[in-house]
Amino acid sequence: MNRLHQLRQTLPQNIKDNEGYDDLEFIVLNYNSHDDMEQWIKENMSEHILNGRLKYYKTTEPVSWSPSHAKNIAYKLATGEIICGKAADNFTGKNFAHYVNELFNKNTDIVLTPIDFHRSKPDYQPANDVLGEVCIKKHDFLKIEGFDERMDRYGFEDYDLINRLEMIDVKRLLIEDFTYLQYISHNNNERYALPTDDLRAIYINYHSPSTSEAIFLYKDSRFEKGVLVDNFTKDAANCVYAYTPRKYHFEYSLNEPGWQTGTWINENDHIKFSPDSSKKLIFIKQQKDGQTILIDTDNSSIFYSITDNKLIDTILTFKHFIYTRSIMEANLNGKNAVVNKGVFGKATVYKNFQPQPITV
Amino acid sequence: MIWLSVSLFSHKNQWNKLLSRAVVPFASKNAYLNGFTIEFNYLSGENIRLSLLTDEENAPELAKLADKYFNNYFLSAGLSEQELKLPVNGIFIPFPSNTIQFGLYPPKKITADKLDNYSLSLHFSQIMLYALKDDVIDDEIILTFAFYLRMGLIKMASPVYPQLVNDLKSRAIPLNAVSSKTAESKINTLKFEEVKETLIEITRDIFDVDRTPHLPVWFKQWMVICKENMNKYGDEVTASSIYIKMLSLIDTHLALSTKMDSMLTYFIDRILLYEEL
Repeated sequence: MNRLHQLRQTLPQNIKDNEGYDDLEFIVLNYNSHDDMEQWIKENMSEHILNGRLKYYKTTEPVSWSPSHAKNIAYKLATGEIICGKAADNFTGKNFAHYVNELFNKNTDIVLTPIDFHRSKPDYQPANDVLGEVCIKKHDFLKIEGFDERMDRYGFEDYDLINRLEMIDVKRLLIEDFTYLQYISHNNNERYALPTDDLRAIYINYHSPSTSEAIFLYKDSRFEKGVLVDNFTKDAANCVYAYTPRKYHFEYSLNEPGWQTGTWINENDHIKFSPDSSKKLIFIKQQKDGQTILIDTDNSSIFYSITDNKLIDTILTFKHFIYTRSIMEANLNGKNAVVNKGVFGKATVYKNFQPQPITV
Repeated sequence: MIWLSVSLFSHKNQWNKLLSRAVVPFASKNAYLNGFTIEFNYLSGENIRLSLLTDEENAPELAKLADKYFNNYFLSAGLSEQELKLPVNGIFIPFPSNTIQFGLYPPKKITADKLDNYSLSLHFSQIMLYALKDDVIDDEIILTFAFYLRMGLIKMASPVYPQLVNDLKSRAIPLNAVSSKTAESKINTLKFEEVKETLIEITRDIFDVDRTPHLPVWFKQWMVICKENMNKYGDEVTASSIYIKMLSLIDTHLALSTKMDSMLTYFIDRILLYEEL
């Protein structure tokens, strides 16, 4: 969504870099972008549309960026046997299609990815910018019902897809040639927006060097509370870790049972929390050394108000990724290969500037 | 072989005691130890990273010994505690001072043929120990120590890398031009005026052959290491990359912050211009 500034660099280059491979189509999905993408395609890519190399689709329905939904639409529209997903900022590299074809001819039941989830190669570290790249058989994509559309924001939908493919015995094959993993570098603001507008305050209760409890107060009177864990420093007093690497997939995680949610209300000098699934909690609000703190009525815990913008961004970023990651982890632990309950990638689209709607 | 990952958390002003009264005795009487390195570090609190090299089969025993030894040391040494001021500038609180922690950086397995890759780091750690074990360590001491090391490196690099000093001097000119514009360069300029005379003295000690005998033993050892490494291949291109590698060695072991690094670079460039070296 709204990535024309990158697409105008990558798309012509990608088409050119693969012109020696005949049996190939480029699908571009305009996911309701508001950046003159349609006009640019019309003015600059018509030749490729006319010769059938490029198929341009547009949907006007989405109001926000949902990577799983967008990818599901595009993948369903693809007519080939093998689908290669590339983001607007990704370059294919020269003769990428030949490379993919060769690997799929040599290996049966594979998915190509730069995500080394099982850490099979310690020195393999592709940039985060390309982790969404994937080459998959359309048959396998449909079998697991595509990307999990509960993941309606940036992050982990591609990890999840590959994990679920492994559950149906599709083998993960790493894209080891970095020629095919080139990209345009850009900042995270283009990837996801942090919900700072909805936020009233963040409070932290420091438990230990590797665990802290956080409360997020939102302007609509909702709250979320959970214990954050730094897996990198966990149990550091145990001397076994002097010589045994820790086993964890991600540096940070959220302790079970996840986010506790409910409503909050400010009353005079205290805040009353009404969790959805447990009894009410009351915290006394105080000022200490110029800081706002919340003290549990039985004095067992103190929450400190977080005011540093950089730290707020760090916490919100963690929270953003925890959301999609939790879904991925639930799919992994529950061995849920198939998701979306039969409904995925649904949309009304328009092909090549034509007025007739197509229901996907 | 394996490098054990050990972190000793203690207030910086206690680091010299920790090095002289705990690290040195532990290392000197330990049969399992094939070598060790030390690095200053500030992640999750002020700490010294002590990497212990041992054979893989001895790793569990050495880790247990280190755990017991340093815990006992911290219990009996009477080192001052660092007061924790909440909220901290992070999601998690730092580790308590005067504690030993493990695995805060990855333990690393190596084969014997790769041991040579660590020889610089092993030697550098010994120099850190000798130079810093006697006095209370603070930012000023670290900065002065780093100044000695970098100037020594420049002296020993110059014969094989003649362009180096000119490159550094030419870098100093634009720095001087912006000195009144950014807050950082203003601080650097002010601080430089404050310490200029001392830095000139140190530089003359290093570069003047007649004064060299008065230099500390650890510094002479550093000069030998620099000379050996800089002369290893004899060509200027390789010498420039070795120079950068050794600069990075100093920065990594001393955990110089960006601010300190910028100040140090400014001092060195100015002194080279000033002394017309």
